[in-house]
Amino acid sequence: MKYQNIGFGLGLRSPHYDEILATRPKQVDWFEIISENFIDAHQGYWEFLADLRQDYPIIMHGVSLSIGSPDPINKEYLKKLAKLADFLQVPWLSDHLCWTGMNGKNTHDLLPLPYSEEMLAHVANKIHQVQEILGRNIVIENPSSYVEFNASQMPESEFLVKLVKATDCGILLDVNNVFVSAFNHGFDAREYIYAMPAPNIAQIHLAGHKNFGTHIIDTHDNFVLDEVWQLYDYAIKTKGQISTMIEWDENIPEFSVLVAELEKARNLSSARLAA
Amino acid sequence: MSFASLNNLQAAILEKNFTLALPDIKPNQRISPQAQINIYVEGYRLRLLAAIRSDYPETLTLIGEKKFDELALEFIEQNPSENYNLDFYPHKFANFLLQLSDKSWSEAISDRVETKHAQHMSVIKDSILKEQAIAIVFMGEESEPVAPNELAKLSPEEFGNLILKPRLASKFLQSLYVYRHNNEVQKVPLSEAEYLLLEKLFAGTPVTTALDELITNYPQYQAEIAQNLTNWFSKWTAQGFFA
Repeated sequence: MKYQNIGFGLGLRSPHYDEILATRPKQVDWFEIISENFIDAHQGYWEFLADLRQDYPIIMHGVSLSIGSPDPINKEYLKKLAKLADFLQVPWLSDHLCWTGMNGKNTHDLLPLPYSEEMLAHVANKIHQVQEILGRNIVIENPSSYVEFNASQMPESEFLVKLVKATDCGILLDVNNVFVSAFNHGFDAREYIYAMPAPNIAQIHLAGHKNFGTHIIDTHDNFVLDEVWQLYDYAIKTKGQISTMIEWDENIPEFSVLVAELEKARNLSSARLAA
Repeated sequence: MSFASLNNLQAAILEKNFTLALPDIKPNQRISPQAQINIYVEGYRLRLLAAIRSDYPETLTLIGEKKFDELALEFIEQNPSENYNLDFYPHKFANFLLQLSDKSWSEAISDRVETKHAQHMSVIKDSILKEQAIAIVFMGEESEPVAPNELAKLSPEEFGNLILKPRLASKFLQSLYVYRHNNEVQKVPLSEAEYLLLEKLFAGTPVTTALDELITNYPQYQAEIAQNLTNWFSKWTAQGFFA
């Protein structure tokens, strides 16, 4: 394995800052931050992270790399990422297989890419640039998506596997995203997970979603659904124990609710590995 | 070309122009291509709207939720986001609101006038400027404050020649100084005399000159200044007003 298993983590969200600092919960092994919430933030936020870092590893998860965009890499943004990553001594940092905008515009969404050979070469080239500037390998998350392009020449899983081969980047396997996209586009979620190269999987995301009948949206506003827990069980069975975290970004509940959800992941993972 | 598909999807999301994007989307048995793209179209607007609402809560209450959202969505249609950090997006919304014509404002608040129209408008505009200042200062870079004991060390002549600058992350409004100090956004109300003196100081006028000019131009404040000057400087430096 190229990435250390650091256990079970939670997304660090502002409603819980005070409680986390005051109680230093033992049930959480690490925290994941949204990079953009901190790279431009004032010193107070960095001091808060430094305080937290004394007790927990912190992973940086970005939403603005826009790796598939035809626009050039934003080097200023990358320098800020690298500065915070060094400050926190993060085990790894991640972003998404997506683009967020082009021609200087930003949709603030994780938009899907056409999975073509041309796009593969483009994204691989940009990942090489990013890894050179950061001085470390980046971890790339599979997105949830609501459209597929006619220009695609291969499934997303194949694109991601080829990207890993070309760049040796890590994978953030978002099991909920696999489930969402599998439903929306009609592919087999287990086949997708099976195809992922285990040594490069740095981390797993779990989250809630909303099913509208015709499509599912990745809402991060509720408990992880049973089907996603089953898929997580399959991921652990086929790939082994992997650092896992729960994402909950809307209608954020009490911290204890998140801890209980994380405990569920821990128990499920332990039970699978013991079986 | 793959990039053409991206360009077409972005045009659909930002401009609601679906013409070019629709043929790029792979057919789906359950949902039409337009409905699929609409998930992104709606998501974009909701995300930006939430960011604007978050930065202007008082203005939202004053204008009313329905009209505020209408104005915010109008702003969003005219101003695509150009920064990777969504926190910066709402800053220019204040300029958009303040540039609206009197006619637009009359229509905007016609069903919510509880006080006289002009008075109500003045309250709304103050709120817009204050909330914009808070948002900008929050994202700004904090500079070191001048410590009170540094001023205490100066001779009267040195103090009189002193040029005092505002903090780097700050906005100086008519009756309010918004600045970042100790990693918090501070909002300090100012009397008219305080405002006039600080205005001169922040413009780079040495202390004695600023006082002389103020008393010459506004003799009505002479007594207030004489009575409060020492207290003002003590309070201002203790509160980290100056960089």
